Amino acid sequence: MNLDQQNQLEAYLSGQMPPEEMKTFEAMLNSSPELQQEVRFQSDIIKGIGQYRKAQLKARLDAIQVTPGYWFGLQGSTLGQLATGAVAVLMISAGAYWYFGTESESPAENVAPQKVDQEIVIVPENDQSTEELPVEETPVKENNDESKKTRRSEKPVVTDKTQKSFDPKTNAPTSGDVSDEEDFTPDNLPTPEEGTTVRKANEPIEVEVINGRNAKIKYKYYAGKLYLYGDFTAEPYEILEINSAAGRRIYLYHLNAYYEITPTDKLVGVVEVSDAQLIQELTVLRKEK
Amino acid sequence: MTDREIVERIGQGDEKMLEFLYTKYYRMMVKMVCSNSGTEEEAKDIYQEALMVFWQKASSRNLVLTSKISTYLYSICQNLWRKELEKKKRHSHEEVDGEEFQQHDEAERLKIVMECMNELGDVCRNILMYYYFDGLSMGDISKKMNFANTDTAKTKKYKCKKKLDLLVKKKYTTSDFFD
Repeated sequence: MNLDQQNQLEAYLSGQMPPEEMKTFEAMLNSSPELQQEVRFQSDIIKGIGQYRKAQLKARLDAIQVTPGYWFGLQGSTLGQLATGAVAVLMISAGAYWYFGTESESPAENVAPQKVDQEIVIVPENDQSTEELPVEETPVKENNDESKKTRRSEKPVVTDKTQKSFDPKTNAPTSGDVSDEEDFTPDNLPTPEEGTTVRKANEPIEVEVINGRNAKIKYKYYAGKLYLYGDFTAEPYEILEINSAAGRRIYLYHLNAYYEITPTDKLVGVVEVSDAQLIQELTVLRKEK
Repeated sequence: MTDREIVERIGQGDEKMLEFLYTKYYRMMVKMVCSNSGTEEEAKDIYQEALMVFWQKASSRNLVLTSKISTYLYSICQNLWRKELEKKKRHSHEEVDGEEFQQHDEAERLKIVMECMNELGDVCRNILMYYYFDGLSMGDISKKMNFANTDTAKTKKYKCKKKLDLLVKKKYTTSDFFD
């Protein structure tokens, strides 16, 4: 089949053939079993490509863990029944439960049963230009809980800086829904034995650490779960999460460097973030915790 | 971001916009299905399928937006879910008929095509998907894939399609679809 024939076939299959040409083509088709077979073959191929693409895009969507909390920040006003303009700020760590502030509101009536294992904390927002949001904070650093759980705090992340320009990577005010997650391995605690894993529940991303001897950190991240391969016994890692208009981005902080975590079911090495603006953003985010 | 901007960016093949829309309207769409005797899982499938319809229309620039994206998506979801419910009803009444067998046959063939897609390199796979499913223009494809120009994209696409055709043909003949 040459290029012209292929183009003709494709035009026919996509329904973009002009009506007159269509008549001639169909007459030809009726009299040629060979052509019929070719049409069927090409139609299979195009459908198959489509299915492949759909599967790929859907896998991409499946990798996003849509949580009630996530919608709040983005969609407060669109979903009338929800607190309008609410900013959900999530600080998560080796999680047990959430501290609900008095002004927090459970979206239970709107939440369909779901495998989502995250709850939300809403900090009411006066208006989008608000710089100071009600701050509720619990100390983060000190921790000697034997269940290795760290505490969480919540804090508004809408800052002056992020309001200047819209950058999908940063938390723009209209969608300034930022959650972070962090995990500490307290220095004064005995380090877990080789091979033990730290599992955490009730979090948007589940993290499982597999202690490796290799200095280079590797990871797998799929179905909302992050598998970290690396040695974090000397220096704890932190997970930072930015939910913005551009979607959810996960970053890893370890030994003064930030790494971007992208969904993958293959074991890959971490890639260091080099974008200066992003690093600054992440640093602010991390410091605010 | 306005609806128009979103549609424009999808027209350039920006997949981030798909993720953005997905999370943005997830609750709304899932709620519709769930409140019409669907499960969360079914709701998710329907919503994803609706987004595929939307994506394909917008990426091929065949979408004339006369309403809000949310309204549009909502109506696709409604239609898809209605169809699904009818299908369920039919199935509880009737036995599997000939149509079903034909569909099975087609599914087998498409599976082969998908296997062959897997054997292609990234560039080929992407270019074919962008062209045949997303319906991106050659210009947008060459931009997205950093090709020197549109002609490079065209040549590449032609070659990749040939490669895929060959792979599939080889597998088809070893099975018995063309007997």
